[in-house]
Amino acid sequence: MSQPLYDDEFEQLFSRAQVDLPPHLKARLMTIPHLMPQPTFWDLRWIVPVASLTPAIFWLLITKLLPLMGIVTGGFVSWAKDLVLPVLPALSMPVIGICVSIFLASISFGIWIYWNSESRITLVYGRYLTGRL
Amino acid sequence: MDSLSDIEIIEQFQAGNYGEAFRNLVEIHGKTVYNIALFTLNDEVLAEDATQDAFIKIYRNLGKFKGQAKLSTWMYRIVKNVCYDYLKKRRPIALADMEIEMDPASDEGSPEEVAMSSWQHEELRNAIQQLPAKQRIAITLYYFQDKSYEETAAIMGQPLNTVKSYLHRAKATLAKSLDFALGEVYEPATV
Repeated sequence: MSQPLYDDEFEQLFSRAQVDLPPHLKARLMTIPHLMPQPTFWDLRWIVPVASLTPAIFWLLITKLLPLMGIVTGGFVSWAKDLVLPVLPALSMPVIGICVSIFLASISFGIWIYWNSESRITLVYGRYLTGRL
Repeated sequence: MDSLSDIEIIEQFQAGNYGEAFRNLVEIHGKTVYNIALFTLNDEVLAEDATQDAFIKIYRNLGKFKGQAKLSTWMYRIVKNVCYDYLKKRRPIALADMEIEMDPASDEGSPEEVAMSSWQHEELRNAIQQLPAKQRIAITLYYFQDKSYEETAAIMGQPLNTVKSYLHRAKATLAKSLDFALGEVYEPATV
């Protein structure tokens, strides 16, 4: 009866059993940086969400913070209301600001989901580019 | 090409050479990552998908790597987690469908040796499949990485003694099943 395998035998066995990275898989892996660019300064993934908060920030600034700081903003507020309310008379400025924010936030969320989707790479690009489908 | 150190790769990444840094990661660690996935999952297609998923996670999170551990330890921990996820949702594997692309170095030799080597691979992979998931991952990480208990424990996030226990039991089980299949091939040393 044979003796049990020892550590050296295991090492030899595992070493010989190693396989190379298949070329088509290597090609798939190399596409990842092209399909998933890292965020840069002008990346929409952070610019759009931040921009979506702009109306709310302006509303807060004009109606709450500036008066608190003693800055007279009555004329500016009435100018802003005159600009918007003739078009949407039933809505107040806060409601308009919140609606615009939600709208832009939903767009930015959609962009974020799309750009970060792993399935986009796995299902569409990775296998397609290397002829696996 | 001389392989870059972990620090050089991180520096490349931090300098904005994302593609180049990632290419170096694949060149240096791709084979090990793939082998860990292949021997853990025992399915070429799943192993390829797991390797790709792991490298996507590595690429997305490399900027957050703070150097608390070795880069390879951090990477193989991601691979281990991806393999765990695949094991949880795996489908039944048809072993007969598998076809192994052999390491060129191990292809050298007579046709009989090549055939024997291929048979050994299959025996090894089949034997590994009989192990519980944690033992399977432990022994794969141990032999495909640095052969270091500490590194294996760090990657698995388990205490050192627990990992030693996994490895001991895995080796005992493998030795038992492989001894039957491979004993005549290796003629192992007597005690």
